[in-house]
Amino acid sequence: MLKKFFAIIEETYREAIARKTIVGFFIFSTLIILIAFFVFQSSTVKDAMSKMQQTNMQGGKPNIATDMIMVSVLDIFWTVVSVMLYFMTVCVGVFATTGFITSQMEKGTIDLLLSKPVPRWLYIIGRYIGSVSIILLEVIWFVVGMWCVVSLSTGTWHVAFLASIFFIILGFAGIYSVVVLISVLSRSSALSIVIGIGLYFISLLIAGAKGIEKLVSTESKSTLSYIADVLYYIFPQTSDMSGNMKNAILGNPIEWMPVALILGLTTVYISISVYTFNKKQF
Amino acid sequence: MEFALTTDSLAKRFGTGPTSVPALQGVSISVQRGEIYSLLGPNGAGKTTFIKCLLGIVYPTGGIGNILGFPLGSIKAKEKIGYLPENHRYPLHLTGEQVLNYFGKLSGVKHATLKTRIDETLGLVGMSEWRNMKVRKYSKGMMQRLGLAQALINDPDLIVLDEPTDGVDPVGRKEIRDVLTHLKDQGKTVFLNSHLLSEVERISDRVAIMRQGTVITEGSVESLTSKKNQYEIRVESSSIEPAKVILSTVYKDEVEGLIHAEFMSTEELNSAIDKLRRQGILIESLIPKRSSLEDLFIELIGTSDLHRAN
Repeated sequence: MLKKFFAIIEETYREAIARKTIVGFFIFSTLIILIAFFVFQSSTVKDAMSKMQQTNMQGGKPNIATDMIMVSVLDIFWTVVSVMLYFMTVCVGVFATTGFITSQMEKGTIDLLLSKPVPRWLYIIGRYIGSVSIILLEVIWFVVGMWCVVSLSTGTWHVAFLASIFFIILGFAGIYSVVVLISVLSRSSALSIVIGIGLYFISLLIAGAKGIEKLVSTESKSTLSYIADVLYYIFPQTSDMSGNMKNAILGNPIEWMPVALILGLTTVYISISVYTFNKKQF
Repeated sequence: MEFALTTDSLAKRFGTGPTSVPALQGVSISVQRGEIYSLLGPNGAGKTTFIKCLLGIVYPTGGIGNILGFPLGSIKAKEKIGYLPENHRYPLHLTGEQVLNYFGKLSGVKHATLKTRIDETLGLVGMSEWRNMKVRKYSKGMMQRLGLAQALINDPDLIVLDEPTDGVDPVGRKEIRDVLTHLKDQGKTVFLNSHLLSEVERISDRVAIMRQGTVITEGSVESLTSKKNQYEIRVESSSIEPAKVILSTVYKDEVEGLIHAEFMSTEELNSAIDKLRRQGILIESLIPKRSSLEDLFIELIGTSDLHRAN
């Protein structure tokens, strides 16, 4: 069973290499890392940083105010990088990996796969884990690459930024579980991509609605507020992962409830996908 | 008698309610181990649905079946089956060898033997030379050969082939026929679904003809194609006229020295032979008359059904 599982994952990797989008994502990430490297090595940025450090050390003892400004600037920088990376991972990731599921459902391919002594669920799980692990490798490359380049340049090793890897992949895994279900139901890559990326924005809207609700805090709940609540518990909340990334970078406590929720929802969506795929006739 | 495949009243309906379509309406067949069994029928007769039911690609709505001692569609049954679907598609980014490697692993071929199996099957279908070429560059015929190699990668006991010679040139078709005969000689069972009736006739031991989801006839190629009580009798050319007189009651026609005669029974045939020999007419040969599988197919299906199917 394990050999068949790894055969499916291996084939997912081969397909990923054959598809130019994944390679493109890798090249794009590398380019961004290189650009960051050259920006931080540029004389303007280096001068600015050394001036800050000099100001910081004036009078022989550290200047707490400038130290805080520098830390804050870097925190903002890491937060912006992580959020941008998150958005890019979800969009490019969904776009690049949806085909891994739908390509299996094509006429002529599915007959062949289902004729093999492999339980149906293994195809879904194998492809899902294969796809998520590919995106994980991309994210690790990007995050660690950026972290090394910036940290080497600034001399500040902000380890908390590495927590972004966990939250980004968790958010992607959540959205991708819905994409898998839509792919199994519709066998349409286009529809699955639209819904997958749409879900990311829905999550932002729900987060926005809940944020406004907190600010206004009236006693009676509006219908819209109820809808937002229901949607919050139905769809994987990618915006919560974004929030947790910021928390990790800024040193605030992590909210574990959304983590548990997204893990639970991912399990539910994958289980429904497996059930549907088991029942489906081709 | 040992059976590789049996089905009993296998039924399949697509959809539910009054709009549902019956694709299979109680198909019962038995395929013996080591034989080549062919399923024939016009388009839409339910042949592919039947094969898909065997493999668990679609689920039957009625009836039962058994493949090599295991239920239809079960993992255990699939371990012993090799399948070549119609219009099969392989990942285009893979080479021929990588395709076999992938499907070999999925079929549960052990790592130690996989390389040997790949070499053997590619050699058997004459594709060794193109093993490192990407599948996207393969011609239709090469795809079919690779498909056949893929179906054989796990050394299956039952090989299910849906239109294996589709798109293959005559030389390639002959080679595929030879492969199937070779597999039969090895004791493998071959279940064939093909439109090429002349090919089926050449290699099949038994044949079933389906129409509208049911098997309308089944039997050995010989029994199905022989014309009951019709014979071709060859006598010396000088004896043709006297023979025609003796066989006057059963005589039908005579072409190139062959007298075509139809008898009511085997007794009547033997009586006629006795009469001929009493008259000193030497019988050179006596051959039961046969029709082609194509004639039988058209006779059973009817031209109207064929037109409707196409």
